[in-house]
Amino acid sequence: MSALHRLQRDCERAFRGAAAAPLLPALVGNAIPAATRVEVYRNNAREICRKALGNSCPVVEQLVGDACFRSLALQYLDEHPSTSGDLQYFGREFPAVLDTLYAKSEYGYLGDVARLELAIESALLAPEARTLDLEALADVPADRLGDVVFATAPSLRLVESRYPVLSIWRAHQSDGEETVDLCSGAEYVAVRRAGDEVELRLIDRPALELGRALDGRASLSQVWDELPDDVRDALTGALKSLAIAGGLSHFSLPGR
Amino acid sequence: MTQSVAGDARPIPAIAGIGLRGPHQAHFLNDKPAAGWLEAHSENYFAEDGIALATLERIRADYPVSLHGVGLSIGSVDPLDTGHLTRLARLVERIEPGLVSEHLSWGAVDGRHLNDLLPLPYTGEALAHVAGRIEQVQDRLGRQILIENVSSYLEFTSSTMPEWEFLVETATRSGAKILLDVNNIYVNSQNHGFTASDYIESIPVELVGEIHLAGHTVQQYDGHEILVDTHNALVCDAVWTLYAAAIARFGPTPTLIEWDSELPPVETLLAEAARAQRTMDSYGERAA
Repeated sequence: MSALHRLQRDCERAFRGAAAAPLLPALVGNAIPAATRVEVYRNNAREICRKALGNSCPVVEQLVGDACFRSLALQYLDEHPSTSGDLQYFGREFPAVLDTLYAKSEYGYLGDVARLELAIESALLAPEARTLDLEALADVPADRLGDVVFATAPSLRLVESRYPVLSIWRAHQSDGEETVDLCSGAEYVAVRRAGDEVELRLIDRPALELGRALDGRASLSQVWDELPDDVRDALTGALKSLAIAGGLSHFSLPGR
Repeated sequence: MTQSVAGDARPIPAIAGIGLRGPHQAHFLNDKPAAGWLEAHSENYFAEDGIALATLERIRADYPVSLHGVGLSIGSVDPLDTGHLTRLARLVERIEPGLVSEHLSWGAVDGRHLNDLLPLPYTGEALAHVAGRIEQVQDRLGRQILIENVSSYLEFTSSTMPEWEFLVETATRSGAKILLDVNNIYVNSQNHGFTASDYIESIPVELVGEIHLAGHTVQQYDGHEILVDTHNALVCDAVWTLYAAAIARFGPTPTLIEWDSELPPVETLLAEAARAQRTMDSYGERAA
């Protein structure tokens, strides 16, 4: 191992919060002790992590408050060190961490709120979809509908929660409602890019299940075979709901 | 004197510009405030089909744009992240920026990223390493880049040369130009006890292609004051004085006002840019 590699490894460990002792002899000590100087970098590492998570999940930050969010960010940094120079995807394990910490508490919704916020962030990075050609779909003969292969919009993200997750998120926007009844039941959300905006729509569970099953390769009848009974029964409504939410981008019909 | 480094479509003029940040994008798109040029953080536009890049392309039609990387970790001993470099190359191809810059720092080792701009020891080993890496980046991008001096809060006992010598040697060996951050020079002079003007005087005029100005904060650690490069405040008077000395030495140079957290309205950034411009204009009047 080169001297530079050894030094960078010792720095990384010290700045992340592990023992600074191996690094200290390599640092100039003067009026400001070397250990104090290391503390600046430790603080920076924590702040960079907090800001990255806060940028991705501002509503979670509002919900738990500054001090708690700072502590959560610190724990996250310990458990999930960044693996990229690009921080865009740094928070992807954050919902699971929140689930582990809060799933069985009165704050069980936090992980789902984070999931919704990451879905919004992810949709912003995805291409915009073309609009489903409803006239062409209407021309498909009734006996061939089962052969239609639907593709979902590339920016479509589906979030389900046993909590009213979209209502919670909306309540924390600048024009949001003041209160949310946490006992009002599950919500299923379709998130997708629409031009320069991200659109969020409530859908029902069959639409969410159908959206997950449509992979752009399987025909509608093949998808139907895999769906639970209650979704099969509601297939027409689910398709319509997904289309209205902008979740379907196009379809193909083999042989046409 | 024009210090613009050869870019493709729209060179960065030797005037003041400001950093482009997400919350200000709509303002630049719709109201087109009078900024000389804009600098964008490369990594924020890596998603090729995302809204951010589409917006930058539209803004690019109205302003010269430079790209400034913060995540390449060019001084790390880890192999260069070829995926990151490829995304940067694609972005450069698409935006055709007037300038492309990176930091003379490292941020990751053994695959673990701190996403910070960490200082290198000023040694022959580090110099050879980082100069070679900059050459790799320039070869991949097919163009010269600028390399920026960073703020630091510690020094290594193994250093065998002062920071300014390390910076100049890195640029000279790699064929890069220097993005001289005047605030970082001031911060380091206070944190490590050297004379900031000596640093400026040690940089060959022909190497400097861009200047950065930003605000810092004075923080207390165990009763000691340390200046931290926070990019969340106005440029301080001492840095303005140092900037005037830099312009007196280098002449009018593309100068960027950087502000990254606790973002003020665009008007505040434009006022800071106007102050930098006045410094450059007064140099021009004296030179005439």
